[in-house]
Amino acid sequence: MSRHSYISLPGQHPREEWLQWRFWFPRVDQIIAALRFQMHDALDPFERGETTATMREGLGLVIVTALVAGVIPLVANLFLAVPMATSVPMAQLGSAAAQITDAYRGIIPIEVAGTTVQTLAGLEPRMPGFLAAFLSAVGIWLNWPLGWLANWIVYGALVAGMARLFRATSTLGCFLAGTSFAFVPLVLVGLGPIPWIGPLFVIVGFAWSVAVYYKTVHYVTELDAGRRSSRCCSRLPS
Amino acid sequence: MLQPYLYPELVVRSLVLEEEPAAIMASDDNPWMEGLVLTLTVGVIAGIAQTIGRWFTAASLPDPVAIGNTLVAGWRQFASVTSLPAPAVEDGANRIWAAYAVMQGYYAGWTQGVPLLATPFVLVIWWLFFGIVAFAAARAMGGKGSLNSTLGAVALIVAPQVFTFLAFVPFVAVSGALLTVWSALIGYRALQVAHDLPWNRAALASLIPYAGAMLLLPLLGTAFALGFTAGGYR
Repeated sequence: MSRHSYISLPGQHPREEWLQWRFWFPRVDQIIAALRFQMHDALDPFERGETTATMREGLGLVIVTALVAGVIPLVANLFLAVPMATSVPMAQLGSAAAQITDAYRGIIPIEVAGTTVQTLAGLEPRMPGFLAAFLSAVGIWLNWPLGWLANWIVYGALVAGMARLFRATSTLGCFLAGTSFAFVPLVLVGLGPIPWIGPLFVIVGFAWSVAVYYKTVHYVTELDAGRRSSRCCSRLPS
Repeated sequence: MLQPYLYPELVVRSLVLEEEPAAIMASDDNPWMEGLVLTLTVGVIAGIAQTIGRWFTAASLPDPVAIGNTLVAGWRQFASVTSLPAPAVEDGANRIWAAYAVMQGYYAGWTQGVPLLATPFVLVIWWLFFGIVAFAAARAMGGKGSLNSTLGAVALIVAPQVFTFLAFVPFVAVSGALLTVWSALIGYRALQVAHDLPWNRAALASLIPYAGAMLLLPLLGTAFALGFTAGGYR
C-alpha cells in the first residue's frame, strides 16, 4: 500500500510512519466524541464498521493526558519543596507531621514522633536544595504516566482476557486502543490539589472515566448480558 | 547480520503489540544473537539509568548518618515518654536502617552500581528462560517455529524496560506489574507470530514460563536458605 494513501488499515500503520506524531495521538474530534459517549465516532471515525483507533494512538493519549493531569500537582509540589530547599517526599513528610502534631497537640508520644519527623524533613539534602526539590518534583510528575500506563495495561489485559472467555473476538490491541479514551476524564484528577472543589473534580473524573470505560468495552467487544460476539476488528489477526 | 539501528523501531512497535517486529526478529539470519544483543543493549541502558537515578536519589536526600542519628535521638525521646525498652529496640532500629540504606544505595558506594550489572544479567537470564520454556510449550501445542527464531522473537519482551530509562530521574518508580504484564503480552504476540499459533494456545504458551518461574523461584530460595543456614556460604 502506498505511504501516501489516505486509507489506514485498522490496527496498523505503514512501517515508515512509526516516528510521525500524528500516528501516536488520536484526533481531537475522536477524543470529544469519546467524552460524549459517542463511541462509534471515537473508535470508527471513518465509518468502516470496525474499530480503526490504534494502540499507538492509545499509548500516546494515555501518556499525554497523564502528563497534563500531573501539571497542577507538579506546580503544587514545587511550591511546597522549593521554599523548604529539600526534596518533595521530605517536604511532604514534614508538612504531614506538622499537621498531625497540630491536630493532636497535648498527646506527648505523637508530639515527640512529629517533632522527630519534622527534624528529619529539615535536614539538608546532599545536593543543592533547589535542585533536589526540582528533580524530585519532576520524578514524581513522571510517575503519573507510568502509573496510568500500568492501570491501562494491567487492568486492560485482565478485562480483555475475561472478554475473550465470554467469546468476544476483539483483539487486544483494538481493546486497549478503545479503553485509552477512558483516561481522558481522569485529567480532572489532576485538579485535586485545588482547595475545597478539588475532591469534587476527582470524584467526577473517576465516575466519568468508569462510564467511558464501560461504554468502550461494550462497543469494542459488543458483549452484554447475552454475551454477543463481535465483528469488531475481526479481520485482524488475534 | 546485526541490525542495532532497527532496535528503537522494533522496541517501540512491539510495545503496541504489532506483529511485524516479532516477524523481523524471527526471520533474522541469526535470531538468537540478535535477541541477545537487543536484550543486552536495553539492559545496559536501563542499568545505567537506574544507577544514575540511585545516585541522584541518594544525593537529593539528607546524609544517611544524620538521618540515622535523628531517628535514634527521636526514638530515645519516644521511649522516655512511653514504657518501651529503648536499648533493645534502638539496636534493632539501627540495624534495620543501616541495611535499608545499603540496599537502596543510599550510602555512597559500590551498592549504587548494582543495577549496572544486575539489570542486563537478569534480563538475559529471563530472556533465555522464557524463550526456552515458551518454545517447548509452543511446540507441545502444535507450534512450528524453531528455537532459534523463538529466541529472536521473544527477545522483544525486554521492550517495556524502556520505561526504566526514565529512572535516571530521582523518585521515578516503574511498576513491576506494568513491566511483567506488558512483557507477557509482547511474549504472547511473539509466540503467536513465531509459531503461527491461535490466540488461546499462544496465550497459554506465554503464561507457562511465568508459572514455571513462580514454582522455581521459591524452590531456589529455599535451597539457598537451607545451604546458608547449614554454613555452606561461610
